[in-house]
Amino acid sequence: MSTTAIVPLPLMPPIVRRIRAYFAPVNRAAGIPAIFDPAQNGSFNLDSPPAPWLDLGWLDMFQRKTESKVTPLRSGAPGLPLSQVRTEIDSIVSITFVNWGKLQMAVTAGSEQMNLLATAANAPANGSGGTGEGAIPLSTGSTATFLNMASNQSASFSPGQMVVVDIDYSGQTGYVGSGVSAAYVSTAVAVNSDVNYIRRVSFNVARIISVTSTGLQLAQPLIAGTPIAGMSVQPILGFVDREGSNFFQEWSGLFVIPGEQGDRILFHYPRLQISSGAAEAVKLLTAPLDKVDTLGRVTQVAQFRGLPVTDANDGAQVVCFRSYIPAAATNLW
Amino acid sequence: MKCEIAYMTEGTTGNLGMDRGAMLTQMDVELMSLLQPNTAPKMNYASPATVPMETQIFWTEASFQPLKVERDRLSRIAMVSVFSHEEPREQ
Repeated sequence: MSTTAIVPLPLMPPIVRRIRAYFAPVNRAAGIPAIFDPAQNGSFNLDSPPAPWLDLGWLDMFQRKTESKVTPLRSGAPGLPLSQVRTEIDSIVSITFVNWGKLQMAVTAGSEQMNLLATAANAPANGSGGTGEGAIPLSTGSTATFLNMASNQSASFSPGQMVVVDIDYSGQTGYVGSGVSAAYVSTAVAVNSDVNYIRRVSFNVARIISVTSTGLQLAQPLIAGTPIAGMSVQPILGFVDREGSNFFQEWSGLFVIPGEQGDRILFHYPRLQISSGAAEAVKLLTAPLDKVDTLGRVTQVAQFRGLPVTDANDGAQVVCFRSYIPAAATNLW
Repeated sequence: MKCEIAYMTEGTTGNLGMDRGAMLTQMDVELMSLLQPNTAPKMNYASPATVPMETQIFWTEASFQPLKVERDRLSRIAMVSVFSHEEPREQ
């Protein structure tokens, strides 16, 4: 058999337009990050990333900086560099999120990201939200997009409302939160043994698009998937994070730069932790048709430090994988 | 290559042209959708049989100029920059 020969093209500089971010939760209790395999999934459809990656949208800015140190080993007089050693491995990534959402806020804040639970009547005021109102237990048969409950209970919800779905706090210690390790509880006393504490920090949130006599239809699937027994639903009003706290969130990060010729650059950081506090930047908004210079677009600015993982292929300790998938029919160097 | 796209409307007769603003907005939206995706295969039309080439042409987002009013007619010009790589043996 023989095929028609292709005419390889000379190398072309990647022409890129934007960069898109995907994050996946790290299993903190087991210490297992999400690993992206560019050999298997490098050309994935940017609108539907492979599980467990979550699309956090296009970025306004992406900048990575190595702070690794390479030191020469010298010998002789005068000292000549005979060899080199890496004395420190460090990598910093700075990004700017265009969109605001639960996940974007969470990864940029870096500490616990709380839900503003609808408060109980006469609850004392509190900076991260007062005592939550009672949660409603789910019935069996719930799915990641439909919450099953008795008809008299679903009537208390309305389309457009936001809800959180998770288990009750009953004295657990360690990492809590379904789907994502949302917070670390050292003692029950520290969280006032609040039955709603896990729902307060949980990432298992969604917006209701319709209410039926049998339950709530959700706009997006729950991050933790199908609810398990013991989970309850509670209305939320928004999200809150704090400057301070001693908890560090950890996420696996994937940044994709699609090239105009079908080529693609991917940066995969299996373990990212915030290395700065939450910050914002404002950009003047210029509409496509007319200039409006009194409006601004608020973006979220974050800086992360890459933490090491072991590459299963050779046991090397690394913090970042950079992959390049060339455009079709181009030469390779 | 810089492309200039001009379009205009005087609205619909049934509405006595009062919907010309809405019509122009529809045309703006139509142009933006025409420009998506921002790439297309580069084709060689030099020979009678059209031959697809190896690279893509690609373009910027449209830059809309302020609308113009000429009697009953609204018009607008949008600018788009189009880029391509020169392939081997391409003239």
